[in-house]
Formats: sequence, structure tokens, C-alpha cells
Amino acid sequence: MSTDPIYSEQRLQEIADLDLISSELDPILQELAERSATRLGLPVSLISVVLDEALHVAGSHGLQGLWLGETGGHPVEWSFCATSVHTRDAYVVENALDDPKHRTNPLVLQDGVRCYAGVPLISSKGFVLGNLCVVGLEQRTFTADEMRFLREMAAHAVSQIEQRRRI
Amino acid sequence: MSGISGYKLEEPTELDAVAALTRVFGADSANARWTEACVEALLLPGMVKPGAALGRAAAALAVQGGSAAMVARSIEIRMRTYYRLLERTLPSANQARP
Repeated sequence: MSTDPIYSEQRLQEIADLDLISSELDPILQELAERSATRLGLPVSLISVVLDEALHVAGSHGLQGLWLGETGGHPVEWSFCATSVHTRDAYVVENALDDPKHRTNPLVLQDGVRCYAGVPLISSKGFVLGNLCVVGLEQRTFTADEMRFLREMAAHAVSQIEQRRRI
Repeated sequence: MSGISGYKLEEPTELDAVAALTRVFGADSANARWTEACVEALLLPGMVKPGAALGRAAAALAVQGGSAAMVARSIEIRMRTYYRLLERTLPSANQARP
């Protein structure tokens, strides 16, 4: 059994308890993704759930016509969002081609991802569920104001997600 | 087994599924859960072929619920990604899709 938090049975159970892999996209999570992409002027935003071996898309904006919109996720080893499961903190990549961890990532080399900013979704029980993130096809920097906005959106997302536990 | 050039992605197999379960639950529980899923899917553990059969076993694993269902969803996403990208890079690969 692995000690890596990605593979934590308790973390995965929390994701299950919060019904985060429902096949129906939550309209409020969709709206938060849309607001995030629009505010930062980026083409894609995700509410991601980091599973043990894959990233699951629980809410999104900008995936129409992309293969990720059809698969509803991708292998976890390509995931920028998985970083936050270990660090429990925001993660920013301004130019993926210069990033030692992601410059050989297929999402970068094959699909053209260049910039990323993600804020972890941490449940009230303390488990990192995934991220609210924005993704772009050109390198860019992210301001403190923009990161503050993403944190606010992530807090809204967690609040929405946790309501499922109470229902 | 055929990988997808550029994506460094191999076709998901039964071994991958059991390895994933082992990382989460440990070997004993992983084998028990996989055997139960295979029995439910009318498959023989250790003999599950990639593609449709593995998809059926993963679906049966999902029925166990909780964290096992999350592992099952991971397997499903990896399969969907593999076959979708295979289709994109090899248009004649439709027949390989489960």
C-alpha cells in the first residue's frame, strides 16, 4: 500500500462521499469554471477531481470540441492539478515549456498547454479533492489579484460540493 | 499492447487495474476486490482481456462503491483516453474501441 496521498483510501472515500464523480456536471461548478476563465481571459477552466490514477472533470468551461471534453478526464501523470494533493497549496506554471516537471507533458507537447494556475479544493475534513484551475495556450504571469480571485472561486466550489454531504 | 506515440500511453490492462487497487488497498484486499468484480462481470480473474472485458470488470468494481468506485472511475478514464486518442491518431482504430 502506498503512502502517497494520491493513493490514500481515506481521500478517495471522501471524494466518493461527496459524490464528486457523478456523470452529471453540476451547473454551479460549471458557472464557477466559466467565471474563472472569463475573469482571467483564458480559454479553459476546470473543477478537477484528482483520483488515484486519473483526473476527473467535475466542472469545466472551454472543453467543447476538445478530446478532454469527451473523455471527462485524463491520466493523473499528465495532471498539473495533482501537484496540489502533495503541497496543499496553489500551483502556477507560467510557461510549461520552461517548467522542468511539465515540459515533456503530452498536454504541453501535443495539445499546446502553456500556462496553468490552480488552487486546491480542500474539504472540511482536510482532504485535497482536486483543484479549481485555469489553463491557457500562451505563456503568461498571474497577478496576486488573479490568484485571490481563484481562491475565492475555489472556496465557493468547496462550499457547493460540501452541500452534497448535507443533502 | 500498443502505445500512442507522443502521449506515452499504453492500453490499460488487467495488471494495471490490479496494481492500482494494490496501491490503494494493499495486495490482499486488492485481490479480493478484483476477484469479486470479475465474478460479478462473469470473467475469470487473471484472464481479463484489455478493452470491453476490462471495461466490464471496472464497471463491476464501481458497483462496490466508496473508494473502490473511485479506482474504477480512474480505470474507466484511462481507457476512454487511450481509445479516444488512438482513434485520433489512427482513424482505422475504431474497431479496437470497446
